[in-house]
Amino acid sequence: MESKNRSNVLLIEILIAVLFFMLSATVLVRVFATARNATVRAGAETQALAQAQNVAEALYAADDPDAELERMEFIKSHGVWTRSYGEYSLYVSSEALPTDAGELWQGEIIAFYSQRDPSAARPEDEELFTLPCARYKEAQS
Amino acid sequence: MIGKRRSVQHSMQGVFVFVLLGLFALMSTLMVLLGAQMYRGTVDRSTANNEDRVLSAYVRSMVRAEDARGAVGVETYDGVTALALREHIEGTDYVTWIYHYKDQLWEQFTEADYDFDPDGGTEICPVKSFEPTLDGSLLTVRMTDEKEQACTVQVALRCAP
Repeated sequence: MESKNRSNVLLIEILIAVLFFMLSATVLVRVFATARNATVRAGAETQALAQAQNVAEALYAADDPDAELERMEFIKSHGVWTRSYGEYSLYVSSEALPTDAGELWQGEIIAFYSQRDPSAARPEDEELFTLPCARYKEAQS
Repeated sequence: MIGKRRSVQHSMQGVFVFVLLGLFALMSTLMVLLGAQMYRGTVDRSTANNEDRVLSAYVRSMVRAEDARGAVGVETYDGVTALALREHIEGTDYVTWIYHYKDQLWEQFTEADYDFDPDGGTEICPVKSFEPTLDGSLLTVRMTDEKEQACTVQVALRCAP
């Protein structure tokens, strides 16, 4: 009788340990999955930032920003130039402000991260950053 | 008969406990292995991100620091294409060469009068290729790191003639 009781206590102890292990495992898997998603997002952000900087520099050096964007395979839709790079997309909006002594070109490059995790809180694309760019072009007298 | 049945039941309980213990040990090991693998993957990706950023940030900051009228150029000596950043310090012309040589990115700071010697520089980091081109005021550098990942850096020269 005493032996049976001892065996039952051991069984309950192991069941509690297994339950605790399962709970810990669930938490750990979630933590690792979040860490992985964060790293993938950070990678996309790094690449998007490098690409956005390249676009900003190319636009600064170009005489015609629209032609340069077209050359870089951006597509114009509703006044905004867009291009998808897989994990992220770049949106370029710009306007030219004529002044007395020349023209001020102002642009904004917005990067969006394409969510691939269906369980994410927001299934739509998430904004990563906005990179403003400008160029002043003197009028030729 | 009753004693025999109790004995069988008792040994079944013992086996069940051992199976449960075995399962626990197996799952624990799997969990540790899985966790280690995921951690390694996360660290690898993080390191790759940092390396990408370091390479492009290095080129960008070097060009930005030396951006003066006519100071940035691309020159080829003995088959080695180098990014040449010239500066004038206390009456003497100096040049900083950045180039790919022996699967490394090298930097060499020397007086402009000296001949270019690729062995005389300092190794910065491992790269497979480094191809700078200058088109008007837009400097484009195409690089491939040691993991064959391509990276392009574009810098518009503010002081370009």
